[in-house]
Amino acid sequence: MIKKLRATTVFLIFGLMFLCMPIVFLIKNSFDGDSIRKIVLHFCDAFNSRELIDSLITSLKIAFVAATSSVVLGILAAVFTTVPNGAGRKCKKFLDKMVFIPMIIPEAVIGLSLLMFFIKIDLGISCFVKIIVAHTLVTVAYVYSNVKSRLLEFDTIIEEAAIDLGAKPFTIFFKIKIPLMKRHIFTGWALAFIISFDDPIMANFLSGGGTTTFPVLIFSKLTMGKLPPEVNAFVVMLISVIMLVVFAFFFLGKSKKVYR
Amino acid sequence: MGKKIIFTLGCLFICLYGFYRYYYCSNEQDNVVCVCSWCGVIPPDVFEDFEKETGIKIVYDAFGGNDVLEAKSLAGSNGYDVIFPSFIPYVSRGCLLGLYNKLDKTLIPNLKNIEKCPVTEKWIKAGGNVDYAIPFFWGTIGLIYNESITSKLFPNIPIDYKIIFDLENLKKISEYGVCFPEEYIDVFPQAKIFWKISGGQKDAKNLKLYKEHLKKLRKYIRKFSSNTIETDFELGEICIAISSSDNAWRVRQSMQGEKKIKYILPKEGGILWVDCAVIPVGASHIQNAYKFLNFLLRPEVAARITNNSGILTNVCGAAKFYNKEIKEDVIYLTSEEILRLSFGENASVNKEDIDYTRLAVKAYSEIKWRIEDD
Repeated sequence: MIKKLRATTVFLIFGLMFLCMPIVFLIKNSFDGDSIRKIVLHFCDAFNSRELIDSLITSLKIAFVAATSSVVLGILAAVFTTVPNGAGRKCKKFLDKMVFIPMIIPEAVIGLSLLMFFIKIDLGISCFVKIIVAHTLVTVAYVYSNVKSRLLEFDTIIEEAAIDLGAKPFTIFFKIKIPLMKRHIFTGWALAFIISFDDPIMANFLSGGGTTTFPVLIFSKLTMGKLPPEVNAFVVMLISVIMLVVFAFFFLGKSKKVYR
Repeated sequence: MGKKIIFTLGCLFICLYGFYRYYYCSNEQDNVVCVCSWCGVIPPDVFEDFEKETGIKIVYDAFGGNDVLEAKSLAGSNGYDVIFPSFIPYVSRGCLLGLYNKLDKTLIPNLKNIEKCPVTEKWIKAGGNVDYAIPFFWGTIGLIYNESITSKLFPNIPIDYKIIFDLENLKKISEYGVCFPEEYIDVFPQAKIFWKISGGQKDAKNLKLYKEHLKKLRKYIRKFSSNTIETDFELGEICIAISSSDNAWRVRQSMQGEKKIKYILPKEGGILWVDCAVIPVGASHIQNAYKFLNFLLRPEVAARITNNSGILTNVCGAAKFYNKEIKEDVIYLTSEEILRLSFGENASVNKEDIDYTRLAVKAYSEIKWRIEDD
């Protein structure tokens, strides 16, 4: 028993180290400096750097809109493919596979082909919308798979009961299905948000005047040689905010029983 | 019922927000100028001074790379008002394809500051188009090396291109790391001189010869990179690299005294590169773009950019304002020295030239990605 425990503990420590190492190095890098004054100056620079804050706001906006629109589309697609009866069986099967294709294709290919698409068909939309379209295209799959997994285990008896009581399909959708899918929708939204926030590749192809996202900026900073210390400092602050949120969820969030 | 309304309102909000952004981005009333350049080249205080002076807000975008920028320019309006692509092959090709606005020289009076510069003369001789582009940044391509290693390996021979183009020498130094640049334009002209390859500058037959020679060396080249030189030298990943002068300056600045980092231009005459300022077609704030270009062409502003990044600026009279570190560095060249430099190749003037460029890019990437055994 003790032996087994030891092995698992070692494995756990190993796993945690594997997860935390890059973050630890990043934090160490950001505190590299000759004097405390210099380190503090880096952090002040990070706050004063307009390009960093501008790009962060752009990234957050894009991620928010892309995640929200992919949630809307993802739910619609998932509901459509999981309705048991009705017309368009082949169509459902086709959609079920097609949703995942943008996820599988390398992002560089999607970025380039979308760029080509926007060259050929000049819709006159701004670069902001172009990036949102690209991100939505990829993130819809994550929302779809999350929501679909919930809908598949959904007990149809509840739905039938609601119909018996005289509920219209619209009411069933909003009053029964959406509340039951709540968590999965949120997970999908968060995944979509993170993926959109993280992506430098498609954004690099599609960004234009005033839409440099945060990852693109960091990428461009890298190409000028070393990463400036204020970027490190900024990322450390970002990580600490995220950590706070995670810990807040960890301590405050009580697990509720999911009604099935 | 309440949730239904919230849902509908949410959808509506998203749509409205999208349209709001669309109009915001293409709004001509906004007093802004969208500038796209390499991150960190133009220091933020230059932007602030421009904003204070003119009241025009600068929207600054990070440059992702020449090829991506070109593809975006082909897409028509990409929202940028001033961009800084490389002269060869991008600007010369862009002029042919009509990607840039013709410059109204009366609105840029400070153009007189660059007219008589030696780099401008060289640039016009190489086919630079004065109507569309302003040669602004420049530098040279040479060898950056770590002298503490090379002096041990090659005590008797002076460092030159024969260190990395000669197979025996390259084998010796390969374990310390050799880095080649990302683009063909920085390698092929030097290779042409080294192996004494005859024929015209843009002879497609030569590409085969370059490939033959460079493929033999491929196994001993650790990296193909133009941008990570600084970190690589610091970590000891590489000890010799073909790279540009501004990289050399930054490596030397960040590693003061630690190791001996040197930069040389080959005896046969170095290669010159130029990044031009252009206004892309479809720019929506053209008047502001002219004001911004005029501001950049002031000697003291240009010098501040050089002092910040080590990239030389092609403005006569800027040299007065350069830092001592720049002036005493090897990257700083006098006008006689500039006259001995040349561009890797002339600007593209017709379709054959554009075809050559495409073939050259293909040849170089074949060298990059295929490691062949002996």
